[in-house]
Amino acid sequence: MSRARHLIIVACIVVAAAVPAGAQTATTGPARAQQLALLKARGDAEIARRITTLDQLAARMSTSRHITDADRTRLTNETSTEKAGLTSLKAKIDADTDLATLRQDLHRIVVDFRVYVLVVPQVHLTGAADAALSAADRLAAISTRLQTLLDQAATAGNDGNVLRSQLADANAKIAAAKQLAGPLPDKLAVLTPSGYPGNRDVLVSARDALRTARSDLRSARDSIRQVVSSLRPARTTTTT
Amino acid sequence: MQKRGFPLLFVAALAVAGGACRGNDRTASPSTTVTTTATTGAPAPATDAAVEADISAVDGDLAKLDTDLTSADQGVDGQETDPGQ
Repeated sequence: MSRARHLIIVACIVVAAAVPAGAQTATTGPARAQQLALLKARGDAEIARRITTLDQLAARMSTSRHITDADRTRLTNETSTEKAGLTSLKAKIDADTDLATLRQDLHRIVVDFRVYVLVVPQVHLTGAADAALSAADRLAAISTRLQTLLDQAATAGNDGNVLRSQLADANAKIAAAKQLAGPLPDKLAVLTPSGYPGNRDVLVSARDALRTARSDLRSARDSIRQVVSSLRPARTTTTT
Repeated sequence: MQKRGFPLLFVAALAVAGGACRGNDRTASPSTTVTTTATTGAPAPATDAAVEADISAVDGDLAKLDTDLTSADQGVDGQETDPGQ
């Protein structure tokens, strides 16, 4: 009885050991090598695609004029760090000999870097905030010049109340847009891949704020165009 | 009446502002320039063009804003596929 029990236990151990051994055998040889090569090629292509994207993002950052140097440096460093990390990961993937390790490393291309779901929107939303602030500053400068003309007109006895009201509306929209876009570069610059997806809400709220700012700026521009158009007299060729 | 006088004042102000911006180019009598511009009834061309250029620059900024928001949309709403799967 005791001997039979020992035999059963030994048989179980042999079967248990044979299952992984058999599985291993199925992925060894040419098929396994082919699968490794296929996955490595896919990983290399995904890394190359991300590095190209990061280079494009760095170029976009370099043309931003209204974000602070600190924010620009943080985002530039982030893209550089991501590129270095992906390059290092590519070397590891290329050297992988074990399928399970290779799959883990391929997974890291996504979760360790979050290039497309975090860094791309992070940089473009910062660029959008920069463009919004640039438009707001330009509109404010035009508005100031128009206000001076309206003030001069008022001194001369022309009230221009309708135009003043249009300009006041434009100024309010410009101020609102600046208030919405102004804080965004700081908020976006601190987001990191390790915080994703928890920090996705920041991206969503930034996008919503910028959509509203865009609407405000378009409205302000249209009001300013109307004021300019109203101030411009009909062209005549009368000479004296 | 008030409506007609208003643009003329604007023209005169633009002409003076435009003249001031031209600085050393204005070697001729300043009063000649102002008088000529005011009597033609049209804004000083340089100043008028400057306002148009500024508004065009705003249009350029808004176009960039559009492009960046569209590019951000893909990331905010998208997902990345795991290449190991």
